[in-house]
Amino acid sequence: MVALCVGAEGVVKWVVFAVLLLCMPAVLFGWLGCPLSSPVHGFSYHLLWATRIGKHRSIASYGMAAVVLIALAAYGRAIDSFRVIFWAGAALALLDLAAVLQISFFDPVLFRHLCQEEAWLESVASFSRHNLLPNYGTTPTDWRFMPLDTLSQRASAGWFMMGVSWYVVLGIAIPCIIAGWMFTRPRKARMIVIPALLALAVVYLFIRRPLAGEEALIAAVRADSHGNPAQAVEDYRRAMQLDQWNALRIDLRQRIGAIDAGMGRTSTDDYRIYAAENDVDLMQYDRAIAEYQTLAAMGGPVASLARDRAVDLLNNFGLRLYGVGAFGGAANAWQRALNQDPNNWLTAFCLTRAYYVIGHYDESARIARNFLHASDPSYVADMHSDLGDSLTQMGEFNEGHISYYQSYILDYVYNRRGIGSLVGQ
Amino acid sequence: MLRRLNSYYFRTRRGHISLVLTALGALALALFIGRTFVSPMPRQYKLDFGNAQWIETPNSAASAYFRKDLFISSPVEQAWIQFAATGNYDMFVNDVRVAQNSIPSVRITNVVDVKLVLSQGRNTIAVYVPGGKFDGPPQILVRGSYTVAGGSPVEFVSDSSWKVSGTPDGIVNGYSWSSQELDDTAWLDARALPAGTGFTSVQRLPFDPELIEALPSAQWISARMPSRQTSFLYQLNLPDGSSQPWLQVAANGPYDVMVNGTRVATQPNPVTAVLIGPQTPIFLEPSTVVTKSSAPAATTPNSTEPGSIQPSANQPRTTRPRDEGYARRTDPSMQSPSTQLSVPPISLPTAGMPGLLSVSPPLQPSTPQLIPYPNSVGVQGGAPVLLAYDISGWTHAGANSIVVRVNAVSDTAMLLAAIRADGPGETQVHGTDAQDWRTVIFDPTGTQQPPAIPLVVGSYGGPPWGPLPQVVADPQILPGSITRATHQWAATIIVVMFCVFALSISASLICQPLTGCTFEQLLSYDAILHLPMLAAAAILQLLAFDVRFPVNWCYSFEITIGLIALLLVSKLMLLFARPATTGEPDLALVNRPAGMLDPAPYWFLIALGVVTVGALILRAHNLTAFSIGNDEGNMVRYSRGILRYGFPIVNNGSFTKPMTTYELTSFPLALSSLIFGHTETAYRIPALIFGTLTVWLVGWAGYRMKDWRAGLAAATIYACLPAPILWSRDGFYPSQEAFFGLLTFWLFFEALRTRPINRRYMTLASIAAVLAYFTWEGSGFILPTLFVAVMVDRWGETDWMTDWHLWRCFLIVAAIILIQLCYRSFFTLPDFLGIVYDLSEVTTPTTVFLERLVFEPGFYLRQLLLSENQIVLTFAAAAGLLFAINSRAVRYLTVSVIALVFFYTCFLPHYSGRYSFNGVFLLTLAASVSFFELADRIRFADFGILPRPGIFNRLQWVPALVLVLLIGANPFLLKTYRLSADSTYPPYYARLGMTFKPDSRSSDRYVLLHAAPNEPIVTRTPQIFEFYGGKRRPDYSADTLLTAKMFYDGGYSPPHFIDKFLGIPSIANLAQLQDLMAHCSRIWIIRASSGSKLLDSPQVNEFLQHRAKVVFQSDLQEVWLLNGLPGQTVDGCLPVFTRSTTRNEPD
Repeated sequence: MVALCVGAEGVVKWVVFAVLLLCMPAVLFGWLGCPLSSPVHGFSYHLLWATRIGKHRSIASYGMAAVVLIALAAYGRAIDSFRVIFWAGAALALLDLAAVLQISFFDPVLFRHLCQEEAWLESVASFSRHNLLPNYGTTPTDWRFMPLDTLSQRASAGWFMMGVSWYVVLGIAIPCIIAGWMFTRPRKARMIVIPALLALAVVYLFIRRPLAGEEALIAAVRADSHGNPAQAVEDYRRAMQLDQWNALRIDLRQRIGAIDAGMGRTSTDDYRIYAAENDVDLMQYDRAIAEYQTLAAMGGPVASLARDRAVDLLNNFGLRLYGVGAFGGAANAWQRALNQDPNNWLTAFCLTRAYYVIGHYDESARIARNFLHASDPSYVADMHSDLGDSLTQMGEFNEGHISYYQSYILDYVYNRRGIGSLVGQ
Repeated sequence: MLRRLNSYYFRTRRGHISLVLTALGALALALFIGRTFVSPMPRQYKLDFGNAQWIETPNSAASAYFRKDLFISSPVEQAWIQFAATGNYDMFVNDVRVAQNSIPSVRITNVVDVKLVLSQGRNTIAVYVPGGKFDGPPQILVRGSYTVAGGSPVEFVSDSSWKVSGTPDGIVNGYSWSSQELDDTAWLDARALPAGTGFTSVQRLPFDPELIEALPSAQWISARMPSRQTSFLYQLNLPDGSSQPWLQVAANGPYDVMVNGTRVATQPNPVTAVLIGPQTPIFLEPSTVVTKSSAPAATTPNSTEPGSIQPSANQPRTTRPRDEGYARRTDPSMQSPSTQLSVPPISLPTAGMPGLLSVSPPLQPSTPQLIPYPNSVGVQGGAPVLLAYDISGWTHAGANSIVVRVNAVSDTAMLLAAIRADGPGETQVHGTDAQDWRTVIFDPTGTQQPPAIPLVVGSYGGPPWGPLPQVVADPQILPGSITRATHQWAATIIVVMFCVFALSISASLICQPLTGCTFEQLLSYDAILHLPMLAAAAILQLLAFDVRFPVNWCYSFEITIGLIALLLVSKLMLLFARPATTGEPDLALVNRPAGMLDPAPYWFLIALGVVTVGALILRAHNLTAFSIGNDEGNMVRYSRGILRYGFPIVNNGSFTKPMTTYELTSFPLALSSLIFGHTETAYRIPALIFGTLTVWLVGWAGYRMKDWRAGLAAATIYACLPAPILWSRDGFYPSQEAFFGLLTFWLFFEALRTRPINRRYMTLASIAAVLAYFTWEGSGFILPTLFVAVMVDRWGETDWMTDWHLWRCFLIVAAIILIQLCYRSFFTLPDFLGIVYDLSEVTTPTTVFLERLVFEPGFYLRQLLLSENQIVLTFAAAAGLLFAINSRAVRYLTVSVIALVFFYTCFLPHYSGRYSFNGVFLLTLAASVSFFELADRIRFADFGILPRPGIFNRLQWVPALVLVLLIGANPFLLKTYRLSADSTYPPYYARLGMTFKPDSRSSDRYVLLHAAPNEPIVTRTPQIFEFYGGKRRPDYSADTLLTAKMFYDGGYSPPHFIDKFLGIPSIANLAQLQDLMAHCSRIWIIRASSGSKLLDSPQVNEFLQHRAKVVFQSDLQEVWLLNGLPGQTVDGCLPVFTRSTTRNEPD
């Protein structure tokens, strides 16, 4: 109808212009789909250099770059330049590509953090499935089928972590490219060649070192297998230098530690990791945890890795104790884990449950309240159910009812715990 | 010359098409060459079942439970079982689950190592084959063997000596049906079928069965000097003609396997045997070992509080074994495929042993599960597993270096390995020994030590581990393997492409002086000559996806050479090319439909009529083969409301509930039942009619959008697709909605054909859209889809936006949709009276993509586009989108499919397979129209050449490619289940020959026949029972998992929850079921068998497992009989239900 009054072509033009402008704030944030927390704030995450986990703001970010490019596309539409629209779209597509590659290969600490959160989420779902009333409303995810051994697997996992802004940018880039291509006259071959070359360059930029790291890793295993330990260690170290992701891998440290053990070098960090992992295999969890805690206390390059591993082992240990009914021991293990890593969502979830079953309702409720700000609705719903259970036991029925209600509101997809508690089943 | 080609020829339409065709031909050839010579697929092995016979139940039961007792006199050294089953199986040996798998409609096979679960004395092999997963009775074929110490192998096969039952006739609260203690003398003898029957889809194995069946002739070896890290070396000499060498490895620690310097396998954790299930050994302390089932099931004083249950070991395991390893998954650095499976035993701290709270005995040990996965197999905790790896991709004829690097955890590294390779005429086996193997150990100084002769520690089967479980490892993807594969394939494609293009250019150059044609003309003609080879390659490739063929059957030397020869021979046809004298045809006139008001050719109408009648026969055949389903039952109830009140309305409990969704669906049902009576056939006739009419309309729309060829092809394809056939036999809405949906799309297309927009067609399209909407509200998404379609169809044009009639129609339809939404909001029972969010909440579009719990981007891609035979259509439509986008019809249809999938995925707040059914006709039309559009483009590119003999004339290859399309999309001809996104779980109604709906008819009739009047009947689908039961209604519904909507009915005395279908009391937990038991002598429970564990709470499942008995089984449906305990009451449960006698009468 508006079209009847002001001319359809003008309407289309300005509608597209307005839609593009409206999309600009939408792509500033949310480039990463953080499974549990929101570690990256500000204008999404940094462009081309490592991102710190935590709150920070930076203008040199993917969000800001996308805003500029969308503005360029809008400008192109305003001046009827489809060539500008095409190049803006191509640049947006390249930006999306770079974002995935940065997460997968350039920012291993952040990537590991995200993977860890996803794994925690899976573990929480698994814990609920085995020990609580089933809550089938877990996030539909393919994460459990995503190994991280090869570069392509890491790229897939990196894409899995992308947030809604990434998709919005893709949704803008594709129509821009198609419209730009269709209406640009004359079409030049460089409209295909240059974006393709740029895409290849971006891919090369990001995977050059990880690819070399992979080669070094293969060489290291080969040298190791042929009884050439010095060469193997050198290659392992080179693989870690080339690809920082390798430096975060316990199993590689373990392999170097095994070589150290063979050569009598028993004071290295890698040897300690090797020894600790051997203890894990020999079911000596306490010794392994103590070893890792010592390593963490000593500082150095593997300190954070050791602390994370110690927390993992404590979590693991707690889960197994809980599985055989040793709830007190499980609570103790998880409490130790939470002391070491106060931001561990898995530990917090398990601990609320363990404290509940041993009757420490106030502790359970306190911890549950501290972890209600997760981004995953099913996790928060389960936490609310835990909180409701504890509050009910403490006689705070109104509060408990509200918690159950919150649980069901947040996760209404077969949340048996929430609905069952709410209706008194 | 190349410059000339680039600057002129390749910039023309003819040049583009030639380029694409030649490139496609080269790619197809590269695929075959790569798969044959560069990167062959794993060899497929056919199982030899010897004298075994297919056996089945003699009484035609829907499901079958087979048992065979073996009496073994001595300890077993080696034992294995080969078996095949129809669609699905669970195999138990001595009550331990050893294998399970499901690929519906296929005879699946397996070989399992069972030596660790067979023991001296009586042993029982038990196989459960559920019904509904195969077109025919459940059958098995078994051949097994066991060898005792010092004895020769004893074989056993499936024959009439096996016992069989249609139900799991175990002993309530006692022995299970698969237990060796059960006395099965009352079971029937199995019926053996004549040899040779039913072998059509018997699958081959991707591994050599000998890897499981043969005892490895190898010894445990270690380095002579004690060392925890040792490399074991072997020089493997393979003669020419050897194929598929396998390496079996068992070690006492993590290991890497290197073949010719490349890592082919790695196991970062010790690969040990672990039993999954309640019998899992738990090492509490070094001297204390318990199993999960014998461990105290600890509970707390609060275990009955909301949100907590017993952490019992006996919970149903509905997930894959890999879920067990969740603790390991927390470390991403350890996430390799192998690390996800291990469940090592634990040790508790010696000091401060936590107390186990209020110990109570476990309810009942359920069946332990022996899952044959590498890290979770066996019963001897800690025993290494003999894992077999396919190393054929890394070996070659001649000398090969094999290195296994073992890193023992706490002991001297030890290895037991064997290599099997099929040589010309004989099989080579090389086991670890002191003669041919060497060891390399660390030198503390770091210098490389020379290989040394190993020390033989013991022979296979000796202490400390005894016989090892033999398992075949899954293929591993290791760092570098994808890079390697990428290089291989890139090199293959580049080389083949270069050769094919060079061949084309050379052939054209050579023939140029001989034919008088220009070089470009010959190049165009040459490109077309790739089509026979492309068609042949496509057919061969499609057959490889058919489950009746081995997956790699077409990648043989002969076939690949044949394709190359076909390509070369086709070049000879260039010699017969002559310049044509005719000019370019007018694209707009060739084969286009006649004017809008002109009648179609009579022969086309006759042909379309024949296809439609064929479709009708296909659909009418077995119209009532399946029972009335859940939704059909609901529609039937509403249609009876129409006959009674003139409006679809039902009385559920105290509520009078008018229909607020699918309103239009129940009217044809009412009319049909008025004419034909209250029968299954009557309620399915409307779907049959609409389904058949849709076939005709698909053909007509194809004709209108492209030409008669597209119309006939689309109608034929649609007539044979499984989903349209099966929905035409279902009284629910999809058939009707598909008809109105198609009508909307077609009329809208017709409206857009003219300028200005044709008002009559636009009006009719609006009416059709409203009818589709009232049939199913999800059709509302057709509206935005049409908007996108018109945007794309009139790309760059804006005149349509000023068409007042278009906006008028849009506003009217939108207003009707809004009114209906308001009506629904007013007449739906309010939320505060019900619990649970379910399908009936699906009302208005929501931003699903923002809901992390719900959003599943790939759902409709799998359901619609990547579903078995429909994948062929997807390819054809995608080709049209890429290469014929400037055709209006192609653009309209393909964009509509994409937009529809997009809207359903992102805005429909629930995912269901049937929602995308109205995309099937769009996909079919898009594929057919695209296909013939492409064919025409290729055909016109051929112009300028007139081959003299008429062979390979420009038209004659078209039928061959049409056949590829028709055959590939036809489930009666090709069973391309391997094409599916997940062949084990086909989308709903996407595969013929399997049952998607529970056979409620049989189970309900069984209960009606056997239940006494005072014995309550519990069913989750009471409306179906009411349909079959006549005057007898079910007494209770059950939803103990609270997964479906229940309403709180205050009109009952006392008030309680009722089910949403019939309004009868609903049992919502175990306490209420136990309370019912206290008042009745027997309770009949009808439940779905496939998902029963998912549909009931764990407590109820466990309770029924131990207290009730399955007395009848039909396809996907079971009847359980629970003996009550009259006179006993359960404290704390809800009041006893009072049967409704007032408001809830049958309609």
